[in-house]
Amino acid sequence: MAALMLFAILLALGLGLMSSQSARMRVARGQVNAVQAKALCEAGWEDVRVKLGKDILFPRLLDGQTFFAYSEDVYARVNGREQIIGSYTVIIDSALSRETREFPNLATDTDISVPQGIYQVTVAGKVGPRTANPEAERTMKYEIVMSDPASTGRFDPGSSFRVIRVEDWGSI
Amino acid sequence: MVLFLTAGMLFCIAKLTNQTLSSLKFLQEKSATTESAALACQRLATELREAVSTPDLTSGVAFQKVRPDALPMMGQTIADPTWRLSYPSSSLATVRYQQSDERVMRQINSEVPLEVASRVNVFSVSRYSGGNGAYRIALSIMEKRRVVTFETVVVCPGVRL
Repeated sequence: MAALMLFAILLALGLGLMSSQSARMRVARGQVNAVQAKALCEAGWEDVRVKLGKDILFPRLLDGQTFFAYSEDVYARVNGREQIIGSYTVIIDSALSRETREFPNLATDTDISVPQGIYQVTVAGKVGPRTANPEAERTMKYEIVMSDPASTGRFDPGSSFRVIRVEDWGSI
Repeated sequence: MVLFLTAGMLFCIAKLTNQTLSSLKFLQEKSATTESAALACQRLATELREAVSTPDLTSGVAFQKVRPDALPMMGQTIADPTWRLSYPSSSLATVRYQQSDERVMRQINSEVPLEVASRVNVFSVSRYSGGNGAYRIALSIMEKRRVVTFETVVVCPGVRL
């Protein structure tokens, strides 16, 4: 009888301890996922920032098209094998922008069109493979002035590409 | 004899349980303090990333960000003569994080400051030499016998130096 009671007490204690530890583990794992989602989101921003800064033809929009979106997977090498960490999705809204000739003077020969106005860029980072529900997600929104038509009347790198608003929409 | 042995064992178990629970309580308190400091650091980093003006680092950190309720510059087109490069000051909010005694407080404009972290030993924000518009946040908290420091580096896309 005494042994049974002892066993029951130890079992109850052990179960209580285990359940509290497993809850703590879940919270810790959730925090890691949230940090990874944020890092993926920032990776997406760096990617689109470099693309916009280095490629004057990016994003290539058709007539009447105002949205441009792309998504990329992110891998990491774990124990010598490539393993998917998650993905980021970038959406560029160019509704508040238009393309104009690099030089307003029509006598000046140019084939280059430059964006004028604001690009609204939304970046979402998701942890986990695409085939499953994301383990964590983070969304950030940026507004970028691509070039200022009021300043010089032509493409001016000094007054362009200025981030005028950043919104962190948090995570789930 | 059996009763004596059972009582002895129950006494040992009670002592063991008491010690386990007290150490668990200590670990939980420690974990809560650490988590609150880590969350404070993360919260500041997240909000500092939204800065659109160069942060003032004289006392803690103060910076401007676009108010969450500010409408996007919709309706304003590049043909509009009132075109401007940035949001008007009415759409901006000044956010300040500073240490007060052993607490880090967050204040929006001139509203009542709210506590973000407690048991803070040192709180500092400095310019990070490794990047343009990058800042290092350091937050040290007091535990029973040691000081734990959290550090993070945040890049502010809206800050141009």
